[in-house]
Amino acid sequence: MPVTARSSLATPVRPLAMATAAAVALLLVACSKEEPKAPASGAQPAASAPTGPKRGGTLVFARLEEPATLDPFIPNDNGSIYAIEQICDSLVEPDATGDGLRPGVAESWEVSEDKLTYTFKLRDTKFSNGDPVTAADVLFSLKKASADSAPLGFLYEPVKAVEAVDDRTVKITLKRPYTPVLSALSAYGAAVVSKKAYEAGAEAFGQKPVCSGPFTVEEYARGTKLVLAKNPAYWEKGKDGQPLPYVDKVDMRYVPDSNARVLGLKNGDFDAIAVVPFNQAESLKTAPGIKLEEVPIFRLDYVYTNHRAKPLDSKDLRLALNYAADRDAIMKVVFFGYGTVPNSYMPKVNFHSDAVEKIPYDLEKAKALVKSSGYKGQTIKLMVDTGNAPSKQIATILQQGWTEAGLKVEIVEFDVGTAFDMTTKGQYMVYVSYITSDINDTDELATLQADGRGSTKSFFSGYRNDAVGKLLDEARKEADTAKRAELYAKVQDTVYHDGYSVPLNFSPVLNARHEYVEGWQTAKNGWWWLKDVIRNK
Amino acid sequence: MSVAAHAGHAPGGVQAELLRWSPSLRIGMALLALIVAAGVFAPWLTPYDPLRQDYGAALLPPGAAHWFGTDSLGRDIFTRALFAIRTDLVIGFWTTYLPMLVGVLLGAWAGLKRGLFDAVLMRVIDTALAFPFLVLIIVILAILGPGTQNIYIAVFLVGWTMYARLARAEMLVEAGKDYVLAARTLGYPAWRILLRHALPNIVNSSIVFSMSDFVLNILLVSGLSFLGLGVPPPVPEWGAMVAEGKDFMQQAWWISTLPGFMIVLTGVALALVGDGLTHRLGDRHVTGH
Amino acid sequence: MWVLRFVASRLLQAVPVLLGVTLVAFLAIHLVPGDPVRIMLQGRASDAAVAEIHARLGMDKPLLVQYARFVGNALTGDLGTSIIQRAPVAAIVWERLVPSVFLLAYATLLSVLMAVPLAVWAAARRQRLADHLIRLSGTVAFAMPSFWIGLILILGFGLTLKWFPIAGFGKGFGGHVHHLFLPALTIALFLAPLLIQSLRAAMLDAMTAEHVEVARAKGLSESRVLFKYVLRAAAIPVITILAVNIGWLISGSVVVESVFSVAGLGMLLVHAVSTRDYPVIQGLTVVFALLVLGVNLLADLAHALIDRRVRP
Repeated sequence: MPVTARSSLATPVRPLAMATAAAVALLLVACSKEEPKAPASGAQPAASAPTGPKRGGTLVFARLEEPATLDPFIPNDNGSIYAIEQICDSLVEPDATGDGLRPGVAESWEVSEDKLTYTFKLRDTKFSNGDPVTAADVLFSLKKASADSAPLGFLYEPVKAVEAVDDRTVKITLKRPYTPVLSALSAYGAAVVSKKAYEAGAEAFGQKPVCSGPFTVEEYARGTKLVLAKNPAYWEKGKDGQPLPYVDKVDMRYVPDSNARVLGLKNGDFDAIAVVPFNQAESLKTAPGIKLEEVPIFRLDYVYTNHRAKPLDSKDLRLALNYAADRDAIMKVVFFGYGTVPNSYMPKVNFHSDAVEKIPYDLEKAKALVKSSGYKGQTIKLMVDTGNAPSKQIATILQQGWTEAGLKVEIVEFDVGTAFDMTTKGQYMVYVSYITSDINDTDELATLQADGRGSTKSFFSGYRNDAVGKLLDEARKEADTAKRAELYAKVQDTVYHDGYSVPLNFSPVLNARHEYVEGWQTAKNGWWWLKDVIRNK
Repeated sequence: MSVAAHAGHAPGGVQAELLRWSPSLRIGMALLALIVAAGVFAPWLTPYDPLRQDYGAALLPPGAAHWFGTDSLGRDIFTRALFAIRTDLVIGFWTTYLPMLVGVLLGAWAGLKRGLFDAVLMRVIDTALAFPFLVLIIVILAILGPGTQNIYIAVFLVGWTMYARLARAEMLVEAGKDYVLAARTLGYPAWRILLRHALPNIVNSSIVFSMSDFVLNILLVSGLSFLGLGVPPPVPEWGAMVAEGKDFMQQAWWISTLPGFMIVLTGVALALVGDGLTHRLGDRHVTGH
Repeated sequence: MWVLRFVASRLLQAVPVLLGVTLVAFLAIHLVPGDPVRIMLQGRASDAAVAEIHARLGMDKPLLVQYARFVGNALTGDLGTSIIQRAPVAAIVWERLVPSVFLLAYATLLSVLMAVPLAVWAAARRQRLADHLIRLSGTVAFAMPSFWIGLILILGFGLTLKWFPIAGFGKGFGGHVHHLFLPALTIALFLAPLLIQSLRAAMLDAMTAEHVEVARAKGLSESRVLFKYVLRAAAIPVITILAVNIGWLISGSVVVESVFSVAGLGMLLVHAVSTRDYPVIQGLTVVFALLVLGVNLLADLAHALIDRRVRP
């Protein structure tokens, strides 16, 4: 979900990602063209070994974030979500890259002619406590998932009813055709949990969930680590025909200090680390025996712009902010070259168009625009999160360019809690932050960010362009993929050139590991499939 | 600063006073004068602009062109460290002496009048002291938002308590002395006894304490900036500069380490002055009665 | 029996202070803009959903009612439930308390180990070179910001020499001692100068005291006098200095924990403030205040045990 705030720029965000997707991707040939996904790094199995992949061992893995809870119906932070993905399966699961979908708790499903009924056949599998997974558990879980207070509840709004046809068959009916429903069902927030265990106590469940995913919780020491053990009841088989995961345990350490993660990896204290800060990537690239991977994720770093605050109500002034933003300097100094200068107001999801023209860095143009906007010397308050070093650097660079363009700029800091609150209330001017997509379908974020009729007022920007609203309505109704793509491209072009915001970078995430860690795969949603990891040492 | 004013009271004149300055006071004052001068004349001491970014010159190690090297935005660290003297000394000064003014007056008043006011004040002080300083300041800054003014407010809210305690303790001693008793029998109002007669005698301990408080406040303010709760960018400030280098420790050690030396140097200068004052004012205190 | 009475009266005095601290913290926290429920739901929640959660957590009640309930629960050891982590605050704080207390105790031990010999040496050679050097280095150490010295130690002993880990708490007692060495040293470098200063002064006083003169006159060797009489007399100011500075030490440990990524109370506080996790912040203020009051009580008690004159 979109949302802002929270972790530092160096972190990948919480793509609440809904995992999503692919269903959509399958339907849309168009999109698959644009993401020539390199089989993201290390998916190669330990092929050569004639005896099959090595099994066993404990993978020691250092992360930036720690889980706040393991209850899938509560969290919104990466720390929790990425851990829950290792423990709980949903009916449908994202595939290895996160672009597509694969079967999860449901081994197959059928879609009715009118696209309003989805019938899922449940797999004959067990929860980690040995109980079989039944339709009753699925009903219970989806009810929790679609509650108003659930973090992803809004995704299931088009669902009319969920019924058990028999013990192993579940039928979902929709209020209207809704293609991304499979993606929505693959989200962590729709994890299938044991009804019996959850009802016995939600708090205890949040410490030690009973699910049917690859791992179970062995130890959960807040502030330090989460130790996962192989779930012997997990259904999926590895390349050797034996049940996954390959490793016996994963010791997930919480190491918020990036120096400590990088050093620990080099020293051999950790087998793998998540979220390498961009400024340390170079030192890991040259380290012997260590592999650094760069994974594109559904994320856009951008400067939120409040169109309701004077002088930002002027399109010329907002464009001036864009022309005077030295994105190449930001790319070099803050992102160390990782990422792409964006040509969009939203992350690169399936209907992204590369054809939209980028706004270049042009101070003269910016000066002219400041003049024509009728700017009267108001101070532009550039908000950043307290303690977020990369955000501060970005703000400092922007301030220099904007000042040269003739604007008065002041950097103000607030802790994430306050900054986020001020943003949601529209009490801000410009705010250095980011957004991530929950699902691999453009519609969700396009609607959220650019449709001024929604409850978030175009994601707290106050942007309103009725032409865009009309295009979005049309796109939602359109069945033809190519035509949909065309409509979304038009939206992208209009919104971006309306000076919706100041986009900075489609930033990727960097992870690193020792070469003996094989089979590593990071999904575009941001997490990793630890079940497939082999510790060949 | 206040030292010179006090020195002026003595009969021998400034010249004679100077001769009696202890070595630590002399070294401390000299260092402090040097630092203040460097802050005042910073624009003439360096060819660089403290705010100007030069992405082509980012992360240069210390050398002839850049004595302290450059930071990740290509700014000259030596220049920024010099300009930061202005930021840190000014903030340190106000966060020390405003609370001192208020604290001494409140404490002295409580010590003189006793009664309910005294009892309430002591409870408030106990509460403030039972609360870890930084925790309170973090919460206050979370309410107010970071920024220089809010640092003044936050530090003020806790800073006056030590002075109030000190002044109250001294006042309790003074209140029993003949001159106060005499003034009371003569019917002088309490504020007059306080300001005209007692204050000069009770303020010394606070002045001595204020020197180490000054050091602590510079450490505190730079610490807040280090946590991101202090002076907003791009204003040069030592703690913020150290924080900016934290993520670059492995490639560019100079960003964090060199500005830190400025904090240490300033702290040592102030501490030496405080040390010297302890002896001088301590002596005056004794000889004065 | 005086010990019991002493402790009881001090505990009684602590009650209003505790109430004051928690009330101030409670009001301050609730004045901060930012709603934990909205932060948790990341801006997408409907107003109805937010209201429902508020009601479930009792956040829709008037502030004073919420405060009274908090105090009532706290008396039974229940500090509430974290809004973000969905776990009892007491359990969360307890897990974080161990590293913090370990760190503080370790730092205190290190600073005493550094301070005692140096102070003895300085006092024995007062106004000579060693004395001046020790005092000067004390002044320098006192002026070093802990976040800066922490980074220098990380750079030197962690990144360059690789002798010590630069983050975390480690496993087992040996692991803790190894992992927390640099953070403890960082705090000790701030504390030791204070100890040296007061210890040295107290020893100089004690050396000229009557009973020491008598001991000298009896022909006891100078080193014997030093250890038998002088150090004992000097212990009191040391204990006082430690007690007086406990608030500062806890504050300092917030910074040091963040530099060294020690999962202690300080890191928990910084995180809880930024996510507006009210129950955790409140629970922490109680624990911090209890720590300060507890250490002061212990110090007074030790004082009274050593020096009969201050007994009630």
